[in-house]
Amino acid sequence: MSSTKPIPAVQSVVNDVLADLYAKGGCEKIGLARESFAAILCEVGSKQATPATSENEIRTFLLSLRVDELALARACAAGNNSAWEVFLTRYREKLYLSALRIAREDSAARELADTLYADLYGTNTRDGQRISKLASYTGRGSLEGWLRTVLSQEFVNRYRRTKRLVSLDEESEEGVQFRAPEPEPVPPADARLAQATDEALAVLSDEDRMVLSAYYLDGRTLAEIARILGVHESTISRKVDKLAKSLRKQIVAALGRRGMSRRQAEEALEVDVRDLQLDIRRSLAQESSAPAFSEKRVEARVREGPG
Amino acid sequence: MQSVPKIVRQRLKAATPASNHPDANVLTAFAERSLAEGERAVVLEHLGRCSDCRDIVALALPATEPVQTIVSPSRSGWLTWPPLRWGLVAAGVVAIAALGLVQYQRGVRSQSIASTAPARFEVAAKEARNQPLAPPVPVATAKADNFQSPPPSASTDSVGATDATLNEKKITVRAEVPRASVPQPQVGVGRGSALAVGGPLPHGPRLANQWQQQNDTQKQAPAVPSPFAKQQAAGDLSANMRVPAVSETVAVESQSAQLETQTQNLDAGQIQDQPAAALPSNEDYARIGKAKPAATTQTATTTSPASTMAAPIAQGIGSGALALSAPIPRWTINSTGGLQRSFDQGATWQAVNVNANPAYFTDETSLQISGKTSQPKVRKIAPIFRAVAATGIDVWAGGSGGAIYHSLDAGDHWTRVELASAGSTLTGDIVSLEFLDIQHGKVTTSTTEVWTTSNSGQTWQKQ
Repeated sequence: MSSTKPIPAVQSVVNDVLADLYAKGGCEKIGLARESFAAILCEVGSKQATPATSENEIRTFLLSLRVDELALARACAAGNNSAWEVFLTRYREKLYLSALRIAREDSAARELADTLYADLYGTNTRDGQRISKLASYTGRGSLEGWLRTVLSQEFVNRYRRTKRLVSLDEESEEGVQFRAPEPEPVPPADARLAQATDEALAVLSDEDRMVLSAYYLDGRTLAEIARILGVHESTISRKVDKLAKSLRKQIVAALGRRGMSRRQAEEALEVDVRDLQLDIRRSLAQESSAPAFSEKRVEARVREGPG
Repeated sequence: MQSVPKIVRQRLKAATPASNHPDANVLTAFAERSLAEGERAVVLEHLGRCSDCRDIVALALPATEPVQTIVSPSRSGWLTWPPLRWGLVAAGVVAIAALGLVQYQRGVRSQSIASTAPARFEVAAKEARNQPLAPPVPVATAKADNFQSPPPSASTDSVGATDATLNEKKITVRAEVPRASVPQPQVGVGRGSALAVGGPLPHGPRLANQWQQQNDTQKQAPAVPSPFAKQQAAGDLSANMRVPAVSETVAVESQSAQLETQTQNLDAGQIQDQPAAALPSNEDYARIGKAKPAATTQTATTTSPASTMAAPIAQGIGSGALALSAPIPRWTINSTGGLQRSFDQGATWQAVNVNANPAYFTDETSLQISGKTSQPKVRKIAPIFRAVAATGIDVWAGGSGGAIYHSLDAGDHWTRVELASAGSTLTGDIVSLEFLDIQHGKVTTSTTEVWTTSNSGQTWQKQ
């Protein structure tokens, strides 16, 4: 159980709404005691609220929770067998399917799902007490969605960890030790270009920045971005188009304010000196026996996004 | 799509790395759009800078939004094709019009020859009166009878037929016996039966050879009551009988061997197995959980069992037969206890309403399977499901209030089942359903009751 100190206002609101939420959550059926449930609500409310939060806001927040799933998750975390049976019936298949969709490969998916199951069940202990990941579920979103998010977090962490730990043998096989020495130093890109770009990006809304990053950096599709934001795909398509055009305009304008002519500004945007450098490197590398680029570099290039 | 200069990508990537990653609860609430506006803005700002969190949110998206539609009543797959559906309707209309035309012409002709053959009429009427109860008339024959006395220039094409299996290029009917007029023929397309007619078959004249066979075989088979026979026995012929034309000879030509077979089996009151209208046995009914139609209706004059059975039952059988060849879905229960199935390995899920298509269509129908007395009920409120078990297309689902539902066709139709044994009924919520195969199953309830079956749920024993 969390050690968050309950805020008095939260406790007061919980006392008001406890009866309703206890019934709504079906806590009795799964064997969750009233006092335990009250403690859970206090903990969740206190995590969210601040001393400045009004009682109405706390009440609205508590009433928006998915109390039935919260009760189930916390009953499972407490070791309630019947709650665990219900949990398995409802979520076991979905968990494996989600893991398969995330990992895209059966054995990796199974490993991912099994690892999460162990965490959910609480195979780890602290001070002799079983720690279940389900104890951190707060009912703000659906339990199914939460399970998918936790799976994704586990997967991303694993992948990041694996990426960093590339063996030396693998590096040498990829021809790293045979890499050509660096040519003469590359002149840095015009600093005005970077400043103008930063200036243009700074005025973007959080959502616009997120859309651009997801599309051009992560290589996400328009459909995926639309689903993340809960809008239609065509909305994202129009947004990306509009943002690309307006960014170009704003950067050219900012470069103009920094002393460049319009033609110079447009040329600066179209041609990057570093691109020229890379082309030379590529054409030189074609003459060697080692592969010009490792798979990882190609992947990184692809992940830069389209265009 | 408009591209952005490379410098833009570089500067986006070089942005200050984000800290304070939102936890799984917040990311989930963000993805499900249940965050307050202020909190959402904070998360968006973070996502604009943190590629890891963007990856997590993208990976955590559900596969596809479940289709929020109720499963529509099962039909033959080919009937769902709109052009074919409308084509059948048009064919039905044409057939009805053609029959009406034939009736009119018959009426006109009868009036013109009524005065010339009164003796024949009386003899025929007497014969008919003395006939034993007539066996069912084969559909094809009845249909042929309908075409009796067609106008000389008429052809079968002009008359039309809704029965696809007849394929009669030329239909003529020999009739020297009294005929009954067609009361009100209803021509339609029965489901699941190639020879089904959606309504009472018209009464028509019998072929001479049929009468002969009837006389010969009446001792072999029990007499089967039929409206037609009753009508004849009552002697109420004058209103219905028409005197055939003296010179009219009509012969039935059928290219279907089934017609021959049906003709021979008239007295047995049985119809040979037809392509899509096999008469179900008791076991079949028990298996699909449907009440067997009453004996009288089953062996009535109709020659098409599917037409006399309740259409929904035929539909159920047809859909069941179709379901056998249908893909086997996966099953799951969503977070609100709703039942869902997927035909594409979990890529998309459909909500299944167990009350949308009950396998029983009348509350009076009761299931008379030994050891299991269940009164099917059509309930309006879907239960909260907790367990589902499927063996192919045989599906069991159980949930709150001891609700157990059974489907034999991958969830197209459901039967509510109430377990009882030796005066004891199941209590509690269903928490577990296990079926090793179609026969053997086990139900566990929240009150720790365990019920088992070894005969596909026909009888249950409390452990």
